[in-house]
Amino acid sequence: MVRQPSRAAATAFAPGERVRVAARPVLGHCRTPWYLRGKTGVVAAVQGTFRNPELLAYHKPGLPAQVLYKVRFEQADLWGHYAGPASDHLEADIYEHWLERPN
Amino acid sequence: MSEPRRKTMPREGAGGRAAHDVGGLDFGPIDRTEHDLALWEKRTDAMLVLLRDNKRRVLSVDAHRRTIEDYGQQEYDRTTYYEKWIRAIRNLLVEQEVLTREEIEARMAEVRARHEKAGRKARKGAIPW
Amino acid sequence: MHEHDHDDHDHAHAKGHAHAPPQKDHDAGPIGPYEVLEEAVRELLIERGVLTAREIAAQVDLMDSRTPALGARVVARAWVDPAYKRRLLKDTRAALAELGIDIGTLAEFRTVENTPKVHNMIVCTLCSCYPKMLLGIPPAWYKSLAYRSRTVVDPRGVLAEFGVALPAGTEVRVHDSTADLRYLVLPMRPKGTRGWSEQKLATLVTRDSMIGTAIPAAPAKRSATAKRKAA
Repeated sequence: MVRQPSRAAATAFAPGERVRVAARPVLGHCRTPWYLRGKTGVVAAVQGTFRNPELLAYHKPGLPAQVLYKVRFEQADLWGHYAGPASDHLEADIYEHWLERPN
Repeated sequence: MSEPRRKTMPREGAGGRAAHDVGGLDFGPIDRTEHDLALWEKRTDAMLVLLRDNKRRVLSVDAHRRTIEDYGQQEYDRTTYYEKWIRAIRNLLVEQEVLTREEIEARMAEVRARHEKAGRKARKGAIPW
Repeated sequence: MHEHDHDDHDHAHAKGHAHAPPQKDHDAGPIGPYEVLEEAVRELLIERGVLTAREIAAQVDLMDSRTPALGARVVARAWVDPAYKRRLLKDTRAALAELGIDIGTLAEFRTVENTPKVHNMIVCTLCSCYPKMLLGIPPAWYKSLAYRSRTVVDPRGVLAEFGVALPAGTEVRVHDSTADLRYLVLPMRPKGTRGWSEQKLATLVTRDSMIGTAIPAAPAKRSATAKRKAA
């Protein structure tokens, strides 16, 4: 199953923008990890558009395709007792429908 | 293979952390023993690649992951990687009506009998559906 | 130990048809239920014409041919050729294709570069996504609950377990492969390798260094005595 990323799609967020991962409850397949829910990071890159895995998981076409973002987080923001320096980061690929503007 | 131990156990049920979603939990030291794959494991990997290709599209990797994720923590923790995979392939083939549960179980009995006849015992144990 | 299953031939297995007995492997021990299931499913799918034995065998062979040595070639090329490195970072699929490596259609690849300031580590907390079409099957530890859970919250602890010491001031950047992108770490070229051929450089590139749990070793400095003896 080929999901060709399309670079022509309009994107809600641009590199450098702060974004927050939604903290919605989930039933079913989801590729937004628990430890990132509700966390705020910065868009590091726009990765293209891909069909939605949450729908593909149930044999649906997975449309509309979602923009995928590489989001960079500060480790100190993710974990209460992060044991490394403030300069450590974590990046994850998050679909647009899981991102919102922080207040 | 030792039983994994989960020191943190936030099992909140629907809407909470799913069994496979383990980022940030504590499972102790990492066992770095290397394992060669058995032939059946390589074939399982191969079948998944083929079943999801453009020629067939019997299942998607997303459906495969979803099926594995639905097993629940107990099954998830006590099965190996490719045990999870072949079980999920089985379930999806039935879900997609490519094969039936009855014919799979019948063929498994035949396979076991064949091996026993050739001198290789079949270990007991059912694979939960 | 490499098993050969001699009933791997491409013909329909009709019910009642006499079946060649499976090759007896004295190391095999009893056959477990999952292995029985795999055999049953494979046979049924072949009978139904969904798959052929030849296709399965070819795919097994294809995955066997993908090993860290392939990745090491790519890294070595990037080390000697700065323009190739730029292309690798910009469009990994195309750069691999330049070297005749086809990564197939199931995922896209990205390369992340280690620098004196940043050390990258790859993990997939949700399953075990890995650049298989380049590096082959991942090691068991990469798929383990312990690695998947701890690398995101305590990457430096994981690095310590793997014996990796980073210079002070290095950022550790963890990449959780949550979507259809697979990540390859481009490690730094070790000191003391000036003038080395690509082939020789590739021998320094380990699988773990392309995951981010190792750093390629610098060649040991030859002592004055050794240099004299070699002269």
